[in-house]
This record gives sequence, structure tokens and C-alpha cells, in this order.
Amino acid sequence: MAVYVESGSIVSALGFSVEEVFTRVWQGQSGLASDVEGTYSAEPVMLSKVDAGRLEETAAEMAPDFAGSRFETMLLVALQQALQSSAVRLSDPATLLIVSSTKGNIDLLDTSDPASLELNLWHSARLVANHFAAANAPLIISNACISGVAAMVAAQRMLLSGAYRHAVVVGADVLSRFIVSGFQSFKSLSSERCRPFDARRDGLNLGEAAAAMVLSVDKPKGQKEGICLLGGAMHNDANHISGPSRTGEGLLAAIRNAVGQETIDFISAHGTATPYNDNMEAVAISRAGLAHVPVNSLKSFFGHTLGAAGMVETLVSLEAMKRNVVVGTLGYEEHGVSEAINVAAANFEQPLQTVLKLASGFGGSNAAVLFKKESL
Amino acid sequence: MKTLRKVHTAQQTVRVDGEVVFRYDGEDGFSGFARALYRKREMAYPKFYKMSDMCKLGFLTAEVLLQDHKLPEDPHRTALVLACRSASLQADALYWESMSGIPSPALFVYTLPNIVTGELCIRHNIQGEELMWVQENYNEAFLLSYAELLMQGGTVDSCLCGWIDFAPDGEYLASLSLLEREA
Repeated sequence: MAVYVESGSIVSALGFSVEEVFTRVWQGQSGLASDVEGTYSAEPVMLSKVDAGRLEETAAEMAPDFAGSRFETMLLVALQQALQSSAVRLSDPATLLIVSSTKGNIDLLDTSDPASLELNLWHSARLVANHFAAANAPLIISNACISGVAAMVAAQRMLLSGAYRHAVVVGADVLSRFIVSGFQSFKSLSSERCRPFDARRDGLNLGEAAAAMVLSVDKPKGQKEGICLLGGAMHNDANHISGPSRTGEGLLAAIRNAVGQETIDFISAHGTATPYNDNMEAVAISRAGLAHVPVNSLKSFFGHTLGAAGMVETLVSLEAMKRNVVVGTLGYEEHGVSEAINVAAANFEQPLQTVLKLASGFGGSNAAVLFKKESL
Repeated sequence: MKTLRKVHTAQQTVRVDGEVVFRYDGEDGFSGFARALYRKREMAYPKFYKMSDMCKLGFLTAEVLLQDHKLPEDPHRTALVLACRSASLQADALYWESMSGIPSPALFVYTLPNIVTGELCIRHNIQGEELMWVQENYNEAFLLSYAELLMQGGTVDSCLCGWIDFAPDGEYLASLSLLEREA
């Protein structure tokens, strides 16, 4: 039995579908811009924001009766887009729904009491699940920045166990004063567009996005080629709650377990562009014997979209694999990590059979997930 | 898969397999309870005092759970399968209050529900699978079935599994089981 990727969707500053987003990424457009409106920060800050007007219009067209927060609306639009091109339905008892987010409705804390039910992730997940008349109670993963990758790995396991035939995985996080000020307090934001793996990198940018993926154990119909989610792994560094391990121990273990005996053609790194994260990743990739494999980071296109990041970046990378291309890392000019890993600076064409997606996050979390093309 | 031990912490009381092993009768609520239990265990772990209440709750419950127990030698073969209802909302509210002055990085770091997982991994050198689920109500059967899946996958021999919830209104419950793969 295998798990196939049926369809996917992205809601982001760069567009509202995988197609649209990929086209912009391929053209080298970034969703990041200096935000001077002051909604999220008194000082100007580089952010990747979802167009509020377009989000509302799209949601109103899809679901005129849906009344939800910005976070919930993004979940709704991403789910609807992904389900549109699939026969899988959430109302089918064989379909599982997994929601991934780090902070959900935390923007509402500005106006709500902390004990309000609407601040709970399960509240948002239930609202959206009810909209789609989901047969099963949604599962929720909140594991910092690995949430999106972890959700795909968990979905694959549960599908292979035979408990479900289909899984719909959706990840989202919205910008908020809460998150922006938190990262500012950590001094981890760059005042410019971030530069993953570059010598001059000095921090990350934040973004918001939602992404959804429909997975199924049924082979996709009418296609010569499909993409399988082969599996993945999560490992903790057991080192520090807010800093990555210098030796990349946890990520290395996750890569080794995810890769097994497969040959890796391309790596989509977490690549936040903080000095420590990118170096740790380079160490782990190198220790895993993958220093020669083309690797990129998409953070300079989307910013760090937290609970959505793993899914957004996976979907862009799977689209690249379908087209046999590697997307260059915007902002990467001079190699700036200790290991000689093969960072893709510019776009190029190359036959790809496998994609390895990495993620790391607060709490010492690390995750890796592997996808492979398969003839049908 | 067998359950070696189960520890339940609520209402200033710790139970191991149903039997009360510690009770705090003071009037300082959770903070008094946590301090008293920490002192009774004669620990030298200064980081404890910096932790959010959710982390203290999980940390102390795991101390009792893993007392006199040796985890597998390979730290990659112990997993954590945890869930909560309130995520880090209690810590979120504290950080949010600091935002009106100088936002505190020391508070911000605790505004994720999986920080408790990280604290447990550091304390007990656990480097295996870890996942924090959010559930409206504690669904132990689901967590056990997920732990079973991990063990069947062949990469996990031992698992800390259960619930760590600290609500913004101060209600709290931790219920952790120590699971082991059967040969």
C-alpha cells in the first residue's frame, strides 16, 4: 500500500493556488514587503501578507454563509481549493482531517479574554470541519515550526495503518502583533528580505499562509505519474528549547529515518536565514551524506509562515519536481554556512524523482518527510 | 505494548497507578504545589523556576513517572505522544501582558504547547519521535493507538504518552503513561 498526493492548494501573498504561486516563485517574485501600516509593529517590518480583500472575496464566493476569523477563513479557502480538484470528501467516514497551526486565532487575544473558547485551536478546527460536514472529528497538531511536516508524516502513518483511506491535511498561521513582537523580542527578525544560507544573513522574516493537501491510498486516476508520500520522521535535539543543536543531531536522525535507502534528488530546507538554523541544517545535511544534493530555502519568497511553512514549501517543491526544475534561493549570493552544501542560487532544470522536505523549530523539534514520483 | 506506570496530577495531588504519593494542602494553589513537590524531590534544576506552569506540570509529572526507571539506552528509541486542550494560552496571556511594556523573550519562548515536550526531552535525554496534539477533550484511546503505531513502525521501544493541560483559568491536569514495546 502507498499514500498518494491527490491535490494541493496554497493561500499566500504570492497567490491563491499552487499554479499561481509557483509561477510567481519561478519568476523570482517575493511576497515579502516592508510593512509600514503599523498593524503588527510600530516600526517598519518585512512581512509576507495575504491580500485581505482577495481573501474575503474568495471566501464569500466559496462559502457565503461561513462566518469565521481570518485564520479560519484561510483554512476554509485552502481546504476548498484542494478539495475542488479531488473526489475525496470530508463527509466520507473514510476521510481524516488534520489541522496544523502554531498559534491559530492568537490575533484575537488583542480583543478577547484569554479564557475565550474562540482562542482554542480545537474551536477553529471544529468550525471548519463542520462547514465541510466532516464525518470525523478533526485532529490537530501544534508542534511549533515542524507542525506542517509533522502533520503530513502523521497522516501517512494513519493511512498506512488502514484506519482511513483518505486524509486532508491543512496548515495555517496568520500574522499578529503577538507573533511579530515575540520574534522582535528574540531579535531574530531581519530588517531586509532574508538571505537563507548566505554569508550576510541576519535573521528571518515572518509571513502568513495556508496550505492544504489531499492524500489517498487510492491511485490517482487518468495520470501516468503520481507522487507518493513515502514517510518521514521527527526527532528532538534534547538540547535547548529555543535554539537549534549545533551538531544537528535531531535533524540528522530525522533525515536518516526518513530517507532510508532512497536516493535524494532535491532538498527543500527549513532555511529560516537565522545564523544558527541554517548552519545547523548544513551540518545535518552534510553529516547525512547529502552535501552534493541541490538544496533551497523558500523563506525569502514567503517569509516564515510557521504552521503553514512545511506544507507551503512542500507543495511548491512537489510542483517543481513535476516540472523537473529546482527553484533558486532568492537572496543567496555568498555561501555562508560551515559545510559545503549545494545551495541552489538560481533556477535550473534537472530531472527529479525524489524530494526531501526538512523542518526544525522551537522546543528542539526536527522533522523530515520524503516524496517520490511513481509511474502508475 | 504494555503500560508500566501511570501518573496523574490534578488538584494539588499526584497519584501513581491510582495511589496518592503526594498531596499539597497549602493555600498557594498550583505554584505552592509545584514548589513543594520540587523541594520534596530535592532536585537541583534551576531552569525549573523559569518554566511556564504548563511546563512545570509536565515536568513534575514526568519526574514521578520516570523515577527509578531506565529508558532505552538509545535516546532515539523513546517517543513522546502528548496532547493538551488549552495549548499554551496561559503562557500566551502572560506574554501578551508584557507586550504593553517591553515584550519579554523569556515569556515568549513558552508560548508554544510543545515547549513542555522540549523540556522533557532535555531533562531525560529523549531524542525520539515527539508530537503535541490538541484535543477538545482528552482522548486517551487515540493517543495510545498512535503510540502503538509508532512501536509497530519498529523505531520506538518506549513512550511517554498522555495529557498535559494548563487552562487559562488555572485548572490543570496531567496524566502520563509510560509505555513499553513488548518483545
